[in-house]
Amino acid sequence: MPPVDGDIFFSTITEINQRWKRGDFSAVELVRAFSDRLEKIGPSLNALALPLREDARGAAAAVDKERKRERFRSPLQAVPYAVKDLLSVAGKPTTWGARPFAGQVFSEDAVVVQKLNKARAILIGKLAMIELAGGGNYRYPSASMTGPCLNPWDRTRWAGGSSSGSGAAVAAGLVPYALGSETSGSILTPAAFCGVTGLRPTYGLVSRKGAMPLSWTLDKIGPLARSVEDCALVLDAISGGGDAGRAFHFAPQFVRPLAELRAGFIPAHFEELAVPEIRPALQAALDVCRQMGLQLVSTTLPDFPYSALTGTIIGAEASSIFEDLIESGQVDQLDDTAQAAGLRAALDIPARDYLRAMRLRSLLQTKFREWFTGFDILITPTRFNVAPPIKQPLDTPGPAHDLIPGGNLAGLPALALPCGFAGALPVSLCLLGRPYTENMLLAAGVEFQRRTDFHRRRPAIS
Amino acid sequence: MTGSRLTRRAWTLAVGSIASLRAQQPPAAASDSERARQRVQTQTQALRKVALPRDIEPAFKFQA
Repeated sequence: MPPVDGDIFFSTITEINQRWKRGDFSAVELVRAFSDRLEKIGPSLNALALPLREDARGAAAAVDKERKRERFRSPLQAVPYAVKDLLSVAGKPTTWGARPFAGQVFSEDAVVVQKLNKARAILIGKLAMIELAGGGNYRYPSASMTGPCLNPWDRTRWAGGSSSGSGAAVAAGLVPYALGSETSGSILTPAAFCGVTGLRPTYGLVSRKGAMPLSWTLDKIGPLARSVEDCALVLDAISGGGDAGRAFHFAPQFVRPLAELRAGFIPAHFEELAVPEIRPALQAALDVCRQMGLQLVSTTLPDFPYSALTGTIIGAEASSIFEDLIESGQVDQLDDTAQAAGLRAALDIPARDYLRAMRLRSLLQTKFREWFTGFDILITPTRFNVAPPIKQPLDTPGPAHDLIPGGNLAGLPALALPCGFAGALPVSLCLLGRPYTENMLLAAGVEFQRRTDFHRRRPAIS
Repeated sequence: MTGSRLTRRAWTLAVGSIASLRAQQPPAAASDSERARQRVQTQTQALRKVALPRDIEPAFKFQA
């Protein structure tokens, strides 16, 4: 049997699965090749939390046996993947990226891991993350037990957070796809900075059982992958609640032709708030959207105190979740001193403020439902900037992207699409839709990627 | 799902050199606590500026 060739590291899920089915290589060979690469390059990017080579080899041998019997179970079968270290894997350390939880082990797999096991996907490792998913408002990219996660496109830059390792590992071709999580920006940001495709599902679509809770009313789990199609395949496998979960099932929906869809955009996002060096790529991406047939309509963002809302809600919920960590003083073991201080301060958020935030959130959700009657898809830059330097404080002044907290507060799905480069650094476009309109976003995203090749570009990795 | 502690696990296998990472850490800012308190206060002020009708319930029953 021929060895696994280098192109496989940047192949899509479908390409890998088809080649495995054809017998180009075995799953055992595939796992060995990806594990070698993950364990060699992952630590140099500070992207790897835990390799799982031995367990993966056993799972790979089992799926190779299934192939012999022609038992083909899913498009993900035999395809390696990794998860953010916020998801539990039975019997393995799950550190949440945080020193106080370095030795933590759970007895069950997270529901999403169970679902991917059922699809015969092969878990080869756990990936680095910002400690506690950044719930205390970290100040530096180094706010992680594994150190600052470096961007494969430029190692002097940050990979983004909090699903840092998930973004970096996919971009560097260490895994075909990875799971990340988002409370407010943690899938979209690393997807944007690392130039990969990221899907934040509608709130409630994917079970969070077995994931570190940061905010009960905001947390979501979703894929970062090499293409929109890959994100769709992963979402299809992980959506729904599992045996004990309460999440909904992902159901195929009727998708109207793109030429019938109206796409809202906020001109100031593209012309004023985005930093000048990324504007040409964003304008070109808008042109692609027009060529796709989308009817672009100008709109304005409803006025809400977005950052104050997410800050208060995440602060109140996270400080309750980590109350024992804070009260015991173990919070001071966190690598970022601002995180510890943020969690402590959040413990004192009064109930009246949390309730006010949640009542305003009701208003916001109503307003967003009305707002989205004016268009079907909302297009915005995923971030207004490129990946920042690794040592730059994250509270450096810059324009806030209110649609990141806004979209999360309203529970909207979002799809981050690589749409160009500013120098060597990726630029990303984001499509948002009404709740449960993932299929519409995916259809538009597939067409966007049919017309562009930015998702196929590879960083120079040595 | 139940949690437990490991005392002798090889979790550090891929963590790399923690000592060198620690060396990269910025020094603890004495004003971190003050900044965090200030942020909470600023958030509170921003939220209280918005008029809120009495009949608006919290978004606990999440209507996605």
